[in-house]
Amino acid sequence: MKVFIFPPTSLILSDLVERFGHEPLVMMRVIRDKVTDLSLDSPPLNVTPEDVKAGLKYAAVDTPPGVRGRLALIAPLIENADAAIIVRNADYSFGCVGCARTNEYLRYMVKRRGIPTLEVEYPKENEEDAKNFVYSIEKFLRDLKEGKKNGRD
Amino acid sequence: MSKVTKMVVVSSYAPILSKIYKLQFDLTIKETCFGVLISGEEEEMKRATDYMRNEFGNGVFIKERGFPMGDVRRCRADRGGGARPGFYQLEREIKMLPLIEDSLNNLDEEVDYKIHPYDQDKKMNAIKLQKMIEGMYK
Repeated sequence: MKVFIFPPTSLILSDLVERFGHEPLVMMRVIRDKVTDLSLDSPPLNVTPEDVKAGLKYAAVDTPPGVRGRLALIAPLIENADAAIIVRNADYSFGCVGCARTNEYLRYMVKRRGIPTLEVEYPKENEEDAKNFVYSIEKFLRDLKEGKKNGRD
Repeated sequence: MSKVTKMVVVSSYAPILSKIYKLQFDLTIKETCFGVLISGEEEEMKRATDYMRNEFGNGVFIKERGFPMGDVRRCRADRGGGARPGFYQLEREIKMLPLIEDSLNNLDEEVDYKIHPYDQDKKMNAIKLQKMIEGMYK
């Protein structure tokens, strides 16, 4: 199953989802398609005005283009997802996920879609937290495989 | 088949580079401070990642990378130094890897481990909301 992860660039979540037999929907794949596309419309990163327009599907025209541009890339991942794993309070959302408003909107989109969702928190220097983190994700993904209902489903 | 690039991050030292060289995968490999970057065709990449997961078990963590290896838009050498964009998050997650590895190693043994559910967002009670509003306009 396709699992949306948040932060969409997370190494740990991406690896765990793949390790437990699902397909992670990650930002890196979207970026790869964009930057390795043969036709370079708008170097260096190939972000065109079309991308910002695509964001209009998700947010109003007076929303800052940074939010709309991000949504144009990340929101289609949520639309294609069968489930989602969200890390709450990920305090280092730098780079392409460094926009707090976009992050709020993405969480809202996941909730609105009503797909099975697991919300966890990164472990903080604590073995128990780490176990809880990994086992929660493992159980959630195992239940998904077995077709059990869970999360907000 | 398109070319993909993957980051292989290790939680503690593992001789990934020499092992991959030994097996002569048709991939471009670059050693970094956190592990290795590998780039190549998807099919060959799948073989290599499966091999690494089998060989090094829970000690390796693999994720995809958007930009090709040594891309001038990301490479530090061309950007005048400083951390590569996206490295901050990677650096923070690398610190957690030993704990995650340990939990993965104990996954089979501790099947009865009781999961403490994280507080899920709850909907606000409508009556509570009404009382709050009434309280505001008294």
